[in-house]
Amino acid sequence: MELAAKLAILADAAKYDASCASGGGKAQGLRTAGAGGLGDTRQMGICHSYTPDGRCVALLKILLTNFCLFDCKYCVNRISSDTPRARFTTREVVGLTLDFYRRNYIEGLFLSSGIIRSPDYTMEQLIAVARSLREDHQYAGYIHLKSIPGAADDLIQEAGRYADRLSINIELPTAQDLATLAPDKQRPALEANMRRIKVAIDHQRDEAKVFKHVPRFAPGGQSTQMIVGATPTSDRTILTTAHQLYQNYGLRRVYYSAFSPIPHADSRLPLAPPPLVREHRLYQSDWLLRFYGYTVEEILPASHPDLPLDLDPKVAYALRNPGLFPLDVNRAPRAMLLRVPGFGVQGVQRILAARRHRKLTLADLARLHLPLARAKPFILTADANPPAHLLQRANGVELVRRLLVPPTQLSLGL
Amino acid sequence: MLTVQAQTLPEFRGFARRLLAADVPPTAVLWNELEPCLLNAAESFSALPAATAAAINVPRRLADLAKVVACHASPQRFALLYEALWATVRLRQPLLADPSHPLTRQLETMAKQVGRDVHKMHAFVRFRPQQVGNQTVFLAWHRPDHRILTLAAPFFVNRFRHQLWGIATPEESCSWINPALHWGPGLPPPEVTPDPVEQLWRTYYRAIFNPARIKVAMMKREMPTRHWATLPETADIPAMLTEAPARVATMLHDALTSSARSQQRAARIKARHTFKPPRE
Repeated sequence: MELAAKLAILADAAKYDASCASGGGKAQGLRTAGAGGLGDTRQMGICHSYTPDGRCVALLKILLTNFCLFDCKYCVNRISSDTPRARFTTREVVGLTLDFYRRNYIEGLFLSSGIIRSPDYTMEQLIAVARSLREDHQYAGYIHLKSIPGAADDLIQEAGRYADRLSINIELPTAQDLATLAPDKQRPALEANMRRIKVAIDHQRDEAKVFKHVPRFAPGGQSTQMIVGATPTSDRTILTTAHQLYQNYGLRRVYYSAFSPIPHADSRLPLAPPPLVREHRLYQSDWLLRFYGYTVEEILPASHPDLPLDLDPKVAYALRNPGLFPLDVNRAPRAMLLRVPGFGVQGVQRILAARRHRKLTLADLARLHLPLARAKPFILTADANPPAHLLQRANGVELVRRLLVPPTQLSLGL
Repeated sequence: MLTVQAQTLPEFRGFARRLLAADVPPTAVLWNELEPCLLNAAESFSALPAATAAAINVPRRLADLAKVVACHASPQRFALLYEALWATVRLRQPLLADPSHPLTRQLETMAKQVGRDVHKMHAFVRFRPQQVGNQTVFLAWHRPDHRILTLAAPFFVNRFRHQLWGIATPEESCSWINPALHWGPGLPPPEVTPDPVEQLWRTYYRAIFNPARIKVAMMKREMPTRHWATLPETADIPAMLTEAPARVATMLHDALTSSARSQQRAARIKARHTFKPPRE
């Protein structure tokens, strides 16, 4: 088979993986090429292109092969699907990566694979590509490797030495979902890989405190992906799972992938367009968990197990807790300002700096580029701000909701 | 009223020193006016005293901001910078500490625009290999919004230190011959030479696109159409969008279960492979 034909099949097969991070994380993990080598990794990644699905292209994201022994119902590469199959050689992947990298098309390589022969064999094949790039070509660009569930520990160790990031997809939010749709995968085996990677990363960090030269281990950390919408599991369960993964394994990112209707899909799956708005709301909630100090319980109390699609989760929280607002932007502490809809981490930083110099008015906030339309009902400023009094009215919550979501804006058919 | 013509940061620095030494307030200087003859009171700049030897202490933050803002395409850039310099150095106002101050806001917005342009240059430069003698040189042409090649070039030096490369923009160009950058004038867009790897890149771009999710506005926000001329993969976008509904329709409509043949094959292979991923 020609290289272009293989590339078309094996990129198409990899497109369901949402991960696109290409930054190396902390400074001590960054690589630069030695004599005759190529490339570097930076703290922040770069998106080199965008496709019409709105996703960025930062990496050469491919499978080594889409042959697979597993029969996961949501996956186009499952053993029982009719999809055309292909397999790259190590040399081909190495060549493509270097060719693309030299032309500044990509930040690096994202390599995954169907499970062939055995987990160890598959993992060895992935490692062979990374080893060749690093050792034969002194390539210092970004490498993201999938860790194969059930692969031997020394293989995980070796993968971590070459890769900037390792990942293993948790696939579905509950063990029950996994049993239904991915009978060949077991949650404990997936989490075992995450634990091994976390232990190795912690170990490396501890050693680096004592010794000058410690071999790198996945300096960009680890990430995972969850498919959303393939099972009826609630957002509360999804976010709880994500929170536990962040807590237990120190993940850098949990990616949520709206279930795409895949060609040759199994008849047991619901056939509907991917729930893109829901995916977006989950990412917003994920950010609230990690950077804004919210708890899962605050974002999704048991009484509201699913995220509203017409309101962002911060507005929804504010409307459930009208007693906390309006907040005085000239006095409220940082943690509370972060709860104002529309105020981001940087915006709050600017407010804190600016209010040392003056009493802030709406005009000042506008100059700081804060989205006032959303924030106005929840804040008090040095000048008059009539919408701030809406919440105190008897039907205040409903009034504010109507102010923020005009009825015509509801287009949930997405 | 004084009129001053400055194009680069070093030129600005030279003028600003003399203006500060002569105690000329920002309201008395016109920076980069195109038609100074229209001003009846235009004084000669050379009448100013030379800069004093005493160093002017410019806060680090303002100096860093000036480096970036000086690359902005706005003809007002130096007027604004001199205003900030005057306020900080002469009036001792902690201007930059107050993000809601209009001048701070404006300078930071400009710096952000330049920063974004640099970032987009890092992302959107596309090299094409060319044989020069027995060596391969990687050449690119890019049209930035601002004059940023000096800010953007170090990234490429770091990344492609051991290959020969050159980047041209309409206003300036540079080429890397290890261990030094060589600067040159701006160049017009070059003739496109075919590159087989570019075809592979376009194949990849088409394949990694998920036709079930169309978000064209999102794509255009991050990859503005004014850059498309130098991004070879964007030539495929119209076709990808035209094909997308049909591809999704196939996905949805056919909703194929596995064919009998695939299922038999699966059963056959599964019978040969009895392994299960080990439980913990």
